[in-house]
Amino acid sequence: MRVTFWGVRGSITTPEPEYARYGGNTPCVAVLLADGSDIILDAGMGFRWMTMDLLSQGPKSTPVSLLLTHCHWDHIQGIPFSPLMYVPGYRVCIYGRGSPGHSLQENLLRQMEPAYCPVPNFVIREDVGAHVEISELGDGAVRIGPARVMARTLPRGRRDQCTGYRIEEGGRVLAYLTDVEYPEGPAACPEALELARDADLLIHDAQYLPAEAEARTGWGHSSAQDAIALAGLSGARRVALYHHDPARTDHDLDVLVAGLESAQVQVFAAREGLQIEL
Amino acid sequence: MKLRFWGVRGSCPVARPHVRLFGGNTACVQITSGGHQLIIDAGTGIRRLGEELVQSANGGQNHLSLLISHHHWDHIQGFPHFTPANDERFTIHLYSLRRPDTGLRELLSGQQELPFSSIPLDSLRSRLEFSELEDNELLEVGPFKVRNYRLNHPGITCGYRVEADGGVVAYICDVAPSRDLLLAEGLPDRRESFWLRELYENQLKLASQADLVIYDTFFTPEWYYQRKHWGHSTVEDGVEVCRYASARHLFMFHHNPERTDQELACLVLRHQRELQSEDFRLHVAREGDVYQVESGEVRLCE
Ligand SMILES: [Zn+2]
Ligand SMILES: [Zn+2]
Ligand SMILES: [Zn+2]
Repeated sequence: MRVTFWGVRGSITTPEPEYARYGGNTPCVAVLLADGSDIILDAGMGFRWMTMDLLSQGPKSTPVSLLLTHCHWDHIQGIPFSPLMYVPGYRVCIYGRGSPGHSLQENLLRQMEPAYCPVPNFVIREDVGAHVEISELGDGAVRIGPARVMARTLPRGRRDQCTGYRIEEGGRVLAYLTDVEYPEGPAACPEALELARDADLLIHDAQYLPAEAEARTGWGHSSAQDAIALAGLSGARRVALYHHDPARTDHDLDVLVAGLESAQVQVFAAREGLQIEL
Repeated sequence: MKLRFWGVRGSCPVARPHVRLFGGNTACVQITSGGHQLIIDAGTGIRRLGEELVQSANGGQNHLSLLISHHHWDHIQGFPHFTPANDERFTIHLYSLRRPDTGLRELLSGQQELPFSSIPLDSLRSRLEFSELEDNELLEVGPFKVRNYRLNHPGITCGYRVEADGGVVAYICDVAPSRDLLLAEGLPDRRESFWLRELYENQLKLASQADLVIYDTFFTPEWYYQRKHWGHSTVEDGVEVCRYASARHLFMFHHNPERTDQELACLVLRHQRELQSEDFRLHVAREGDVYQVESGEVRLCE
């Protein structure tokens, strides 16, 4: 499988020049499978550019599968601004989870309420754009083309949750865990360990520096140290630090990564445009 | 008064190389006069403005006024990341045109509800004072006299005319021309042609003799004809309004996310050439640019 980073920034898009190298788009990672199927992880603003690129390659016979970790804006805000959603003939399968009292479909529709959003509602209106199917995956597994996808519930501090994913294809493993906060550390989170077990690449939330993490307990994010600790415990081979804080400039990220050279696993900061063949 | 563009992009923020020169943050404009702060719209550009305001805050209560043109994402999405809103030293006075269905507080609060955000509006540490504006209401904040006028755009949208220090700034965004479709909602039952005329008159009232007009030039004429119902205008529309309203400086604003720096630079040059004999000047709003606005004079500050 081929992994491409289209958005690596957490919380809010940062178009300013000091973020130009690592990128300012909110989360989106594309995974191209051997049969040409596309799996897309999260639909931040990177989703807009990813899907524009996809459309420029001409019609596709395989569906586009979008796996959502949760419905915070930075993970769904690209959907109404993705041209893919407006082109008839495409099939878009969205997987994720609802929230207490609301289904995933309801939450995606709320994003497109007319007071907030000027575009027509393709999620329910068949005549507008792509054919959209929405499924709640829970803690399940699903086959997408030649890949097996596993979903697990992860903690965002003590009160909130999100979904992490593991994608297996042809003996290769990608683990995607973002917007996660382990109240007792990663060692006490069997779901995270299960997702990351022997992964070839672990993409992990590293929004905070250790010094910031303390003051932001309960905000639902991790540090690079949490990511590296999980890799060490689970046998993951490479770690992509992901969901960079909007305050973290290119220079700050260079400094952060340089300080991690002694880590037991290979660590790098995810950068928009980076492609990795697993 | 001084005016600074913090976000000039329309629809969605753009963090891509093709907009690096003119900027990718969504709508946000700051106007200052004698230490008073007036902000129009809370697109992603407001994040950086917030950092600056927090740094320069004084020990007492710091007052800010935030005018919202309408509640589409690109005009409010920066608010959860506006640090003064979470700082007890600030009082923020927020305004938007009254809606029949719901209020400004409910809409901003809805943006910060679960599952979309983990930081509810009610938990913010500043004082937030919400006011619903009536049509054409005159609002006086410090040295600023502000009047709103309804615009032709899906939902409920108004433009603002800001007067201070003898200068006039008009913010006309988002807006569709009045020649094809009535997009504004909730208007009393009259013929469509009546309201289109009224809403066009509103644009002229906003821009009348204005020194600086900020105008929604999202579309090119070709795009406009394909997507009229989106509710935006072209440079040509802005030119017409400024001509009839005897305005002095027209600023292209709310740039299309796909419009590259090069396209924008060429577009403004072409129009500037055509407009040489006019009494007003055309400019492109660029993120970070600061203008000094005085009666009859608009000057770019270095
Ligand atoms: Zn996030
Ligand atoms: Zn807009
Ligand atoms: Zn709008």
